[in-house]
Amino acid sequence: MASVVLSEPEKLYIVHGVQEDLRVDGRGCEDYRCAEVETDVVSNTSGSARVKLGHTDILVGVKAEMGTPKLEKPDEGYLEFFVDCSANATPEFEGRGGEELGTEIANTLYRVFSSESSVDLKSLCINPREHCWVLYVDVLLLECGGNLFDAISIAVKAALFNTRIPKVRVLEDEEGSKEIELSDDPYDCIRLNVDDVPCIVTLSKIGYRHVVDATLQEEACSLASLLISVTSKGALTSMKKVGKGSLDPESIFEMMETGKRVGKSLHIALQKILDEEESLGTSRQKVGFLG
Amino acid sequence: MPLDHRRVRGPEESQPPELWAAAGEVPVEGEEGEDKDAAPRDPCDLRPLFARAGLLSQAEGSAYVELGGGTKVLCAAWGPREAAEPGAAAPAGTGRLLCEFRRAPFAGRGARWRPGSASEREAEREAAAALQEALEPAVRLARYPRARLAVSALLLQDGGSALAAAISAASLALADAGVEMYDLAVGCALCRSPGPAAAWMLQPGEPEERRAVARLTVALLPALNQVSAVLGGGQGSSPDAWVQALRLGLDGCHRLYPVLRQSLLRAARRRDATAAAAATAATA
Amino acid sequence: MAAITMRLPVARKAVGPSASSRGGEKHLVAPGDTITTDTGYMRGHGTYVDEEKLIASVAGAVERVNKLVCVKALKTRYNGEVGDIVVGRITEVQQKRWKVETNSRLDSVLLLSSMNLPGGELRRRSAEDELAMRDYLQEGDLISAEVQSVFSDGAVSLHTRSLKYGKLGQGVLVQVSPSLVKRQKTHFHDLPCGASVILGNNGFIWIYPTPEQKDEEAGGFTTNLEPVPLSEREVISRLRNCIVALVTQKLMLFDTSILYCYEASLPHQIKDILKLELLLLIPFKQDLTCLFTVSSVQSSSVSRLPGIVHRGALNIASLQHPTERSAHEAGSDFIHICMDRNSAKRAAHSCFMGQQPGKVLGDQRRPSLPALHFIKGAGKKESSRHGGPHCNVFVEHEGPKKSCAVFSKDTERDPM
Repeated sequence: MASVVLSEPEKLYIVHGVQEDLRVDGRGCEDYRCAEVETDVVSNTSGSARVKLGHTDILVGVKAEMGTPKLEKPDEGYLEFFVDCSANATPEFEGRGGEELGTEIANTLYRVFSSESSVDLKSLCINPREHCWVLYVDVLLLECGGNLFDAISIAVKAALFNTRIPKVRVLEDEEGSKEIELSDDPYDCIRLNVDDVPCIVTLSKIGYRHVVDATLQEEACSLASLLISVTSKGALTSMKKVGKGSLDPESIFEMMETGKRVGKSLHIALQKILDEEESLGTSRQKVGFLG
Repeated sequence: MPLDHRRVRGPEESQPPELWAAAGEVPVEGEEGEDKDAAPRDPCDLRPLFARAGLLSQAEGSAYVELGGGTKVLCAAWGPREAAEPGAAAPAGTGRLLCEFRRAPFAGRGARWRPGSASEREAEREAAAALQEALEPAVRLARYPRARLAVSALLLQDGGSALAAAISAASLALADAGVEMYDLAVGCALCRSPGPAAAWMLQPGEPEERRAVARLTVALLPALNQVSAVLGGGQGSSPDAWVQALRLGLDGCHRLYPVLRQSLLRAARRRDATAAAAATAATA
Repeated sequence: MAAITMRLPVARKAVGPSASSRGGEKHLVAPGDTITTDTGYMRGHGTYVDEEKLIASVAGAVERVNKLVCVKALKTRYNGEVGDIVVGRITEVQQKRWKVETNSRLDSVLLLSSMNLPGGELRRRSAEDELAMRDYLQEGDLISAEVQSVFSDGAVSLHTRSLKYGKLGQGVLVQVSPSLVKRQKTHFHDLPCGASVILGNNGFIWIYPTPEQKDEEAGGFTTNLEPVPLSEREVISRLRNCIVALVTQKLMLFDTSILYCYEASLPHQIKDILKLELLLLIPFKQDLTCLFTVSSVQSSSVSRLPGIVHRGALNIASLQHPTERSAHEAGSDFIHICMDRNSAKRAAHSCFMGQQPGKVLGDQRRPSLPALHFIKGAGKKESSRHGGPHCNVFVEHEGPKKSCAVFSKDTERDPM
């Protein structure tokens, strides 16, 4: 991952600042940087979103394609995650450099979405055992400025919110052979219910306290962080410790409590902005990549 | 793997017949049937754990851990050696810990999976990363600048709680190799079966794990009381429920710790005895 | 309580007419553009000659010094020039030298021999010093230094042979484009708001708590590891955000612009400064540019400028206007001392000469005190080879907003 080198006094300054609840950029320990969210930025996708969180810039495209259901779950569609660490973000990602990080993020996303309730997979099934929708969620890292996981999960949720899957009907003729008919109306589509899609909150342990939305500099000061995925109702769906260090059990419990609280307000803020964008409809000037 | 194209091979993917059984029919299987009959399992129950350190002769350190349900993990620790490319990944002044996790092709209960398939490799890589994260805080890597330590875990049989067993075995292997460590890392797995009131269970067996809606693996450094790995996911529940699960898991780690410690001491004693015997033989 | 703000992106506004208000449109060129076909010109950086035409090789602004034509790229890595102040980070410790990352094309070099040893000792460097190099500076450490020479390949050699340079302690580094740092006589500023900045010419900006007393004994190698008090942290964080805000608005960085931004930001919370709504609100773009390019401002027009721009405009106006002028003239609501060059010198020499440099006659961080004077370096010769007699006078008088009026004056260039 893109990393920065800091001198010892610089680290000390950051650690003391976190102790005093005043971070280098003036935020408190539980504050996020100002985030920008825009959906429907790539027209070739079924749904897309771009999220900028400080200097972190994430683009997510969702493509719905028809596939065969998994054998274990014949009446459900499924999600496929792929994370591409583009060398645009940092030269370290050139070639196969970003592969490891990409797999790690993708695995985390699979884990976050492992809960059955997160997305209604049954609605993605067209024809049990034969056809279902597969949602390919492709995540591109355009810029890395710390707190990748949170930004990615926000972008994934926004992109799923934006996803429109064309309606299809299964026609069965006398001989029992099935035909799939696609609706003529391009606006006739199903949308996903994203109410239970979790967001990731990363809590980085710095000194004796923990912060959310750490910058690259703060990540360099943190030995261990806890990744928690929280739904809008405040339920935890997954957790993972990352980093070289270890954590005190008590601080893990505290971090989970903070994570739940922050996660809830994160969902509220995100939902608000998604609704706002939707209500503006086509009247809103698209910004896309010219912003 | 060289392929023999002259032979007609079976299809790329095979499907177990259970999947095609009529829906609603409960597959009558030995293990699961037993589960039904048996009294509800005490969630705090630990399965018997058998650990043995120092059983491979070539590796610097090795350990074997077996859990009651049939999980068998063999671990070897190699190194420290000179790192191939000095200071490439790790910051200067500390060593690197490389972890590998492999599943034997016959480890699972169902059909044999094709080794080297993409999904398989992915799962192994994730487990390896988890293993590394669990072990790194326990090893004094700062004592091994420019060096690399390698740990490989081989899962011979998966009877549930495999990653947790691998963590315990790997830390045993490292300790057996004489690597400086702050503490042993003890792994413990938990899972929650479906149902609204279902409680978390320690060290689930394979059938329990398969049916579970949420799984969690924790690793603890018992002497320091530091959590070195938390990895879990599944159906959402309140933080309090997860806290409870964590507490249960950490408690499980504390209870497993003496067993691992004993096995390590036994290996040391055995070595000591052989060394003493050799010494007496030499003097005699 | 967690604060999370999300917003829809806003399209960047097209560049306004500010470019033209800077006193003459800049001649901007793209690579391959012919600058001139006149053969009388000399080829400078960023240009090449083909078929007797002078052609730009970078995108940027054409600069002409007599017969020399250069094109200065507006966003580029740092091109070292002798005498520049830079802030850099040690990347490697080698034999008798450190490699320093200074945002330049190649890693810069700091020779062991071009560094003051701890304690400011002047002696030959011994083998022991060579062995102890990592004790002085190790990988990741930040230093401030001056460019000693530039090699033919563009690599820069640094020196820290002055007590002002050396290892940096606690503070915050902000990296900006080098072209946004204004070249000034001094790049070390103790700002009256309670913190200090080093504006490295290479775009590395270091913000740190103003040291209590300049510890000359240590020679800059012992770092204070005491926690920085919260009040100073607030100032540093605010300054950092102000600098970032200025940079996002593509405004030049120097002590006055930073201070103006700082003051304008005072009504807002520190973390809100970087929120884009506010960024767009802060009307620096137009005002500061006109502020610092205007040659003389009519007092009537000055009074119409709002708030902070007021004082700035007045300052500049009065600095560049030969007559003595005060804010009373402008009919503004604060009292402001302005002087022309001569009277400034007089003031510095007569009123402030006897005062200790850096003495604060009242605490400027507590605006409840009526009249505040802050004098820095008045009448004191600085030891730097560049620093001539330099005088920063900060005067604050009672006003409705009680913020600092800034008066910065270099007396060196004045005809004595």
